[in-house]
Amino acid sequence: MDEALKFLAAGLCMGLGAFGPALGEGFVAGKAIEAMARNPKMADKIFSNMLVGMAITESTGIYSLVVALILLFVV
Amino acid sequence: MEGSLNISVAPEAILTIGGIELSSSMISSVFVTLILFGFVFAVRSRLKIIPGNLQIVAEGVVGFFYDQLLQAYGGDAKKAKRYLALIVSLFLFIFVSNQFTIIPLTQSIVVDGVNVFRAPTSHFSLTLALAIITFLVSNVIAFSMSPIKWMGNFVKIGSILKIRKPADVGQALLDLFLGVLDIVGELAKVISLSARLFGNVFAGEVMVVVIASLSVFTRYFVPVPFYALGLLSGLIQALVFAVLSLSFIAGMHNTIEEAVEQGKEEKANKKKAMAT
Repeated sequence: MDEALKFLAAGLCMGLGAFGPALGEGFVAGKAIEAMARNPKMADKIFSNMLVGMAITESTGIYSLVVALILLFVV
Repeated sequence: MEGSLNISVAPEAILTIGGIELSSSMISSVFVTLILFGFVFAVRSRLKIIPGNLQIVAEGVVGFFYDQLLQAYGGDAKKAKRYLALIVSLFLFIFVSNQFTIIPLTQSIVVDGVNVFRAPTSHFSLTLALAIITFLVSNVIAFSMSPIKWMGNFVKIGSILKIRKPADVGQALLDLFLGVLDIVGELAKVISLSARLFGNVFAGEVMVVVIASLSVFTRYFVPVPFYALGLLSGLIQALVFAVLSLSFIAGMHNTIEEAVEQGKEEKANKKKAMAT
């Protein structure tokens, strides 16, 4: 029973935790591509800034991943 | 999850010397340091006015972070140079550590069923230590610049002293509460910096292991795209760690410096008012 609950918790944690960052990253990418289309000369700079912004947006997803991994392999 | 999968969050201890465990990620972080030393001496011995390949790479990395630091410190070249070494070495160390597992043959050295080498950044203690270095650099140097202003940044006594009429009490209480939030935010920075790096690197490894252990068919070529993704995310995470710690350090120092200058101006104004 405990084992099953552990797996359920890990799955829920990852599934719900991936929701927000996914929306956020889509937003970041969409806006960046909009900016690139408007100003193609700045595309390189926008792209590198986009990657950094995405990595930061991703961090909440990574936290839930860490929690899920801890649930699976440590607890 | 037992059986074919062999994943553990804590690194395996290989030797125990006087009660201190020598873990696989510690050994590989020593090797990362050696690689970086080799890189540094290789670049130094071939410094020329017309740069070679290695020198171009080194100059590109240093130049990138120098520009970022200049921007963060508002064009103060002396300060930018002071923190350049720390930021670039953070970046290089994390970058090489993230890519450590792709060095051929390192993953096949096994002692007593334990891999001797493991990506150092997939060990939470190491990423936490790096984040604490950033935290200490930003706060200790800000403290040495002006201890009172540094304390005032978190415990806003100034706004209580400024209470002149009852309506100011609400503002003072709000400021106090914001100060508490600042303390929490400063500690959360350490956790978020370290957990982000650890989570990315460790998740990349776990993904490869899980895919390789799905079935016999997925053992050889299927994990290759995930390795490629790991390479990209290793570079990006190293960049993000360096840029974020840079902005934390510069932001902290800039706020303290501004507060100090504001205090000086206020004093000068008071003196003027007294004189007239």
